[in-house]
Amino acid sequence: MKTLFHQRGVAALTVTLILTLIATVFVLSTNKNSYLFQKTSVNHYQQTQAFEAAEAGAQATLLQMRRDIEAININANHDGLILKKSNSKTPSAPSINNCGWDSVSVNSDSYEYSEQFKKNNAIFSKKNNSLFQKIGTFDINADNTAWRSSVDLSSGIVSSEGCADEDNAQAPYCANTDSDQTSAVVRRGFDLPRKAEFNPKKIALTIKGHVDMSGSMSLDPNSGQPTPECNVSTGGDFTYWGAPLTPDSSNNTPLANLSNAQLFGAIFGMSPADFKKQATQINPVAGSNTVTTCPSAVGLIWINGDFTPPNNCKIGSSYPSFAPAIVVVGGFGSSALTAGGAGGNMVSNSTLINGMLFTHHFNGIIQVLGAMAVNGNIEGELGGVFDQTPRDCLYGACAHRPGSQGSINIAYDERMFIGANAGGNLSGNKLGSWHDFCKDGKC
Amino acid sequence: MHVKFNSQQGLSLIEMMFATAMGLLLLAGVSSLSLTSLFSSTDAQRSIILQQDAQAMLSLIIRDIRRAGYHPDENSVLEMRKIWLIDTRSSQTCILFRYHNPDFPKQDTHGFQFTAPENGSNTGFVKILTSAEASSCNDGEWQALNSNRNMLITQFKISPHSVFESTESGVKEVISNLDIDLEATDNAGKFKIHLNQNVQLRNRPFLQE
Repeated sequence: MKTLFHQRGVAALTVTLILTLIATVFVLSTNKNSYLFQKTSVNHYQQTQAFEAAEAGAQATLLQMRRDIEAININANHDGLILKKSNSKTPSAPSINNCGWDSVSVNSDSYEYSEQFKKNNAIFSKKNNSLFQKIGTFDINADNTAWRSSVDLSSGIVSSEGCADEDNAQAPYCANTDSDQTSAVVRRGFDLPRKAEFNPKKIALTIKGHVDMSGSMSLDPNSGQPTPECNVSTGGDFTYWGAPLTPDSSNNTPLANLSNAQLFGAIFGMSPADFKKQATQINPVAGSNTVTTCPSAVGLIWINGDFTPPNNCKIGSSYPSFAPAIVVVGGFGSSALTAGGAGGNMVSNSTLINGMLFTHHFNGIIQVLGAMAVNGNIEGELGGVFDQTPRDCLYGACAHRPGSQGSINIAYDERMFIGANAGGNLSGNKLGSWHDFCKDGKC
Repeated sequence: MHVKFNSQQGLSLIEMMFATAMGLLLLAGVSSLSLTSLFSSTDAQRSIILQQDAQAMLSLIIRDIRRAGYHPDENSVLEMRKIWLIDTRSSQTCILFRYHNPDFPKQDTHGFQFTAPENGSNTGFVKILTSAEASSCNDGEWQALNSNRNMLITQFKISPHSVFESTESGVKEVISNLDIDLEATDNAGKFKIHLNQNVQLRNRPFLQE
């Protein structure tokens, strides 16, 4: 029997093996670099993909919410994927003598989570186990990305997490926190749109307190428009020197007994805080508590203080360029409506409001195309101080009391506030809300 | 003399030397071939490194700029929706913007600026603002994002695209998106890379004077 070294060609074999080994080491070390390059560029690509997936998720979620709201508007019992209508009582029809103030219900028009979303608390991009439907004819994720997103209705934030490098067979997507797959987060703010049913009792002029002024008052409906259920409803005394009108309800106890929040809720169907959140806020100049500019905004407008607009200030517009303005004089400090106070006062010199006005005490000349509500009194005023004594504007005496005069002209027009867009915008482009970081709940 | 072939056995010195010589010849051939290709690919590799470095830097800048205007508290958003674009000379670009990250509650102002290369010197940097506040681009502490050992920036240009938004105090210019132009070379100036990317500013910061 021959030993190993007695075979022929062993030398050639050994040499070849050694050479191969050297060549292999050489090749591997060269390859390692290009492997690293590939890894970094794949990382960058996946990061971009994950980010885009997250953006797509936020966009798709907002789209689904818009679809839900559209379906709910057709059928209030619709249970959408994310939203359903929260149950609210419909306001009772006004009765003849007290303009409907015997019952006060807040006509809430907000949304809550649908049953499906409650169970899952997130929607996923992939179709096979997803609550989510296709967008048009496209599958949402044709590539290996996925997203899942959740909605916080209380803070109005959509959070969407996008992941790259997803496995088709693996679920739930994007949810495996232990994995080292590339992911990105995108968060966007939104305002839930709500269909307004402002002034549901259909009163042209609501005054919680008393009226004590001299001047003229006209409350004819806008031409061709239906008459209000009530022309004037007051919770207190009604003395308007020169006024040819008789209030439909005077000394109306239910109205006078309403709290600030109750009256606001009965007229706007939401809390002052909810209204303010969705409104364009108008602030006084620094050091002042009174807004003295004429707001150019339309839609919901919140005056952060008292309101003394300049002469001939025109807010909102009527037909044909229909853009009503719902103006709330919100007040400041402890008197602010949002702090449970009565709101701010308004002193007007020929203001025209196309829409609605809600204020605390009021004095001056105003024309409202729509409806007006006063949380306090219509009273005489001098230098910002309101004379709160009813019935002292006696015939003739009032003319000599500075600031006790004014004419109120309300052309009742339901189109200006019923079905008005009560703000809100589901585009998800709430300015200043977009961000892509969130750690331990701090965003 | 008569030697039988099949009677030879074992490893002779001649055999060993011959095999080694053949092997070396082969190795020389192969390695000269592979070295040539390696040297040419080194160039490609360097330009890839440069491209990746520049891309990484641009991604970092874009990620930060995209956040401009964010604040978790709605009432403070207006304070954050501010952006300054300062282009004092064509060779110097500076961008300052604001957003609030609760992890770094003191640093609301963020910024990048470009210092152009000076003639004959090994410079050309994009710098990031590291101090909490800066009232201008000449103020605060700035740190270079690139090192002159591997990458020099020859151009960093920001072209804003703006829209107008009506506010309480009149119509104001907001920046909706930016084009960022970045040109870099390696330290020897042999390779050059040009990147151009668009950033959407979702929070629409107001352009400040």
